[in-house]
Amino acid sequence: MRKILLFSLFILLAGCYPDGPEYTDELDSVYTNYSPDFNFSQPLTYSLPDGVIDVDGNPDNSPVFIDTNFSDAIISSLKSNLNAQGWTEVDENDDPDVVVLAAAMDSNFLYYSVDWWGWYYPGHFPGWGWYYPGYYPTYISGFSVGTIVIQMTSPSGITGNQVPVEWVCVINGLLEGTDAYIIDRIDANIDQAFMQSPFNN
Amino acid sequence: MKMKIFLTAIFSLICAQGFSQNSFGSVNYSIGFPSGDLKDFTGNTSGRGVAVDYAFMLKSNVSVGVGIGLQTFYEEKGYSSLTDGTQTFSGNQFNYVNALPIYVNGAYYFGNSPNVMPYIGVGIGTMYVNKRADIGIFEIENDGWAFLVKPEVGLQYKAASNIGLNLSYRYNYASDIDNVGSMTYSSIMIGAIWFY
Repeated sequence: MRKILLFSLFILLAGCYPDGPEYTDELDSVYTNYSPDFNFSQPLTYSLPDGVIDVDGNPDNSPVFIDTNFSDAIISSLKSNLNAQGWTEVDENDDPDVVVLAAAMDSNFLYYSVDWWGWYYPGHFPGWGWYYPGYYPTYISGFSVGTIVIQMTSPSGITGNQVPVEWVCVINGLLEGTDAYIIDRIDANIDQAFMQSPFNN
Repeated sequence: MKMKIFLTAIFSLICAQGFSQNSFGSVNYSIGFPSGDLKDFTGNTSGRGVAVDYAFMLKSNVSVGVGIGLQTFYEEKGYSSLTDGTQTFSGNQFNYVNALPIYVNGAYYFGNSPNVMPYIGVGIGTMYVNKRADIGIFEIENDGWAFLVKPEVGLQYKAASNIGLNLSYRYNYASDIDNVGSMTYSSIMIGAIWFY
């Protein structure tokens, strides 16, 4: 009898762990943070490059871009969300109020500097770094597989060699499934990023 | 220090058991009903629980014993956004709580029937709590030890000379733990008893 009871106990304990996420998209997450001093509710001009840099850990290399399937989805989703704010796209040499930069990484986060954007960023000098005015993005060093980092910077706020990042967005998820499935999730997550403050305030 | 006293009490009870003529053990399936902070975090009734108790009779109607349990609470919160200052974090949130009560127990038995014994009891001890929220591929995990007080009412049914059934209601009060809160829950216990 006691053996039966102990066996029953074992079965009970084995069945104790509840369910969790079942689908890849249930693991997607969106993190945003922004400068409390920057006014996002005014009509601004913006520029953004056509490519999304693939951060591979070696800043001495020429920039490598991610597959255009995905970068086109990211850029087009960013543009439609920025235009929906009433903002206007301009050339990077036409003195944009903000420059929006997207990068992707598929391994653990690798610190990357503004130098990665030297080919694009207006007035860039080597050795520039980012700074986050009035806030610090908590998750900036805790990325994992399949991360898109979008940084909205303001060239007019550059002091010394520091580029102010007024808004940062980190989209994280597992790179699994068909391209169409991944692109759908990218779109949905970028929309979510723009629904979060400060744009939705 | 509290833990030392508690462990000494358990050890004493186990030693004392050697001199006892009548003792019994039980294994109970436990259905947990969250309340307070726990209900806010995981609101679902938990069908994942178990408790193992061992007691001996001090007198014909008084028992003391020890026990340990495990109750797992879970709730899928759906897509949610957590905002703290200027930062916002969104994703599907899955909340989990594992509560492990460990206690010493005393019970008083009513009635004259040799087969049906209603009882009231109280246990004190500690409850280890592990509380976790999974959002996307991130998780926020906190744990700690709470002080536990566990009043109980129940019924023992002696089906044969060494086999019986138990049905009881327990209220597991757990004190506040930093970053976890008070993980108090009540439970209905249904189980088997074997008498020595």
